[in-house]
This record gives sequence, structure tokens and C-alpha cells, in this order.
Amino acid sequence: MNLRKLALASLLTATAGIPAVSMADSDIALGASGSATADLNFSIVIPQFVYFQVGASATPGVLDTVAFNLATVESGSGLDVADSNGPVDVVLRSNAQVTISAQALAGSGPLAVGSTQILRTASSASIPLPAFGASAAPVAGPINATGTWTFAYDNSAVFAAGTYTDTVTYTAATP
Amino acid sequence: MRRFRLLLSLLLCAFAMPAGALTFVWNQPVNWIWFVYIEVGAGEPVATVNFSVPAGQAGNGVAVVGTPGVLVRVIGRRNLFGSSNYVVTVDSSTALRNSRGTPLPLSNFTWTSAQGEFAAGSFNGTTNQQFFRYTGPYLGFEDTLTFRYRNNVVYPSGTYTGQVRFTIAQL
Repeated sequence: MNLRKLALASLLTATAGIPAVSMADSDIALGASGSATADLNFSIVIPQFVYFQVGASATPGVLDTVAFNLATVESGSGLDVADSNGPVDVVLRSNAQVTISAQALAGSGPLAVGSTQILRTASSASIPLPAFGASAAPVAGPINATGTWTFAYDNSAVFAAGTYTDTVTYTAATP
Repeated sequence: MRRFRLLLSLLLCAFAMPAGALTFVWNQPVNWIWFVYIEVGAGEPVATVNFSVPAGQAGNGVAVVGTPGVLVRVIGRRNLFGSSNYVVTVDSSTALRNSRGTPLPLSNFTWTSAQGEFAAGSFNGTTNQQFFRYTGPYLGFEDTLTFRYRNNVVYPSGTYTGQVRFTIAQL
């Protein structure tokens, strides 16, 4: 490498007597106080995107379950019942405005009136938790947020004994 | 060395001649050998490093490698004897921008060099960041830089363009 360096230096030494030449990406300056400059362009393409994760797993199809167990609480007593699996992790990344919407509950019993019986709280305004069958207010991008959604059962009505289940799909959409 | 031998010959001639017989006047500037040279990229007037963030991966922290690699060549020489401090600085103070004028600071970019001639680093967004320094009578280094976009910030979509300027000087 030293020989190569010396060769490079010798090459320029041999041409040092010629007038200074300047190309956009190379430059030579003669004299003790001169300086030479060269530019370099940068170009980066960033596509529009949205990444939305509801639940602990980033693997599509792996769902978290919100569970309310009234075994030790009188049904309809008005005492809120916490999600025994909660809270639910949520991740939202996007470089555009995002609107999160929730599918309506389609189950029976308490799930048929889920909008009033299931209480919802979002830990971050950047990842709002909409009501069932509704959309939250749009969130301006860019967004890079993590948070949690917390659910509770309001337990203000009496329903027949049993296990009620349903699946809700949340959607994050960009314009 | 040729310059040194020429000066030595002139001095010897002056001593060999009778005083006052001849007067030599040397008009050539003594600093003509001093020079610095820098070359960044190849094949274009100004080389461009291109980055493309994969869909869905913007801001996920996985660095994106730019293409192509960029050859940087710096050469310099000092007059006659002694050493110089050759310093290469870079101005990365002007952020990249997309068509809507959204800035993307150059501090999002890092570099490594293939053979380690230039230390790995990252732009700091200033006008006078030291990129390389060498002390000696001659300077002759070249290496290929690979740039990377950190990709740990979510920026609005678009094509962002900008420029950095490398400057070499003898101190």
C-alpha cells in the first residue's frame, strides 16, 4: 500500500505544475494555503407506509385475548371487571396520517351491547382506541408510537350465565 | 528531490564564481510544489449515493445500505522539507429535503471504509467536521466508503436529496 501511496503522490507531483483543474467531484489546489473541495450527493426514497400491531406478537394471525371473569363478582353489580390478560400492547408506525377503526362486536349477551359494557382506555393519544363499530379521530404522521389498550367490563347489566366470545378487527388506514 | 538538486547546483555555482561576476535571480515561486487534491466518487460530475427504504421498514432501526460505494482519494505534497498537517473536513450542515421541503438531517447517515484508511463515522450536521487527518511530507490515501442510513426515525414519504462537501487543506 505504501508503494501505491507513493505512486499516487508522485503522479500528482508530476502534474503539479499544470494549472489547477476543477471537476465537480474532484479538485486540486496549489500553494501552501489552498484548499480543494469535492461534493457528494445523497438521495433517499422513503415510501408511504403504515405498520399496525395489536397484541404482543408481531406475527400476523397470532391474536391476544381480552378476558373478563365474573366468577367472583356478582353479575350486574356495577363493579368493573378488569381484563385478566391485559393490557393489550399496541404499536403504530407510519409516515402519513392514520385513522384507526374498529369492527363492531357481533357476539351475543354482553358482547351484543359491547359499546356500553366494555370500557376502553388508550395509554397514548398517538394510538387512539376507537369505540366498537367506529373510527377514532385521525392521527397526524409521522408516528412511531408504542402503547397499551386497556379494557374493562362495566358489569352494569345482568346476563345469562355462559362464555361469550367474539373477535374484533382493528384497522389502521392512511389516505 | 529534483528541486532540491537544482537549488544545490545553483548554490555550488555561486560559490565557484568570482564575487560580483554574476547574479542569479530565481523568480519561480517557491510554493509551486505545495498542493492538495481530493476526489470523491467516480463516473459522474458529482457522484450520488442512493438509498431505498423497503416498504414497511421505514423507521424500524434496521440500517439501509447506500449504493454505490464511494471512492475517496486524497493526495498532497509539501514544499521541500518538513511535514504538513493534511486535514479533510466535511460540511453536512444542509439537510436533505423532499419535494414538500421536509428536512432529513445528514446526521442520519454513517460510513465505513473498505480498508480502514478512513475511520468509520457519521455526519454530525456541522459545517466543519473533521473527516481525516494526516501528518507527513506526502499524502496519498484512497479507500471506498460505504454509507448507511440509520433508519431509526420515521420521516414522511418522498424522495429526499441533498449534498455534502469534502474539503482538504494543509495546515
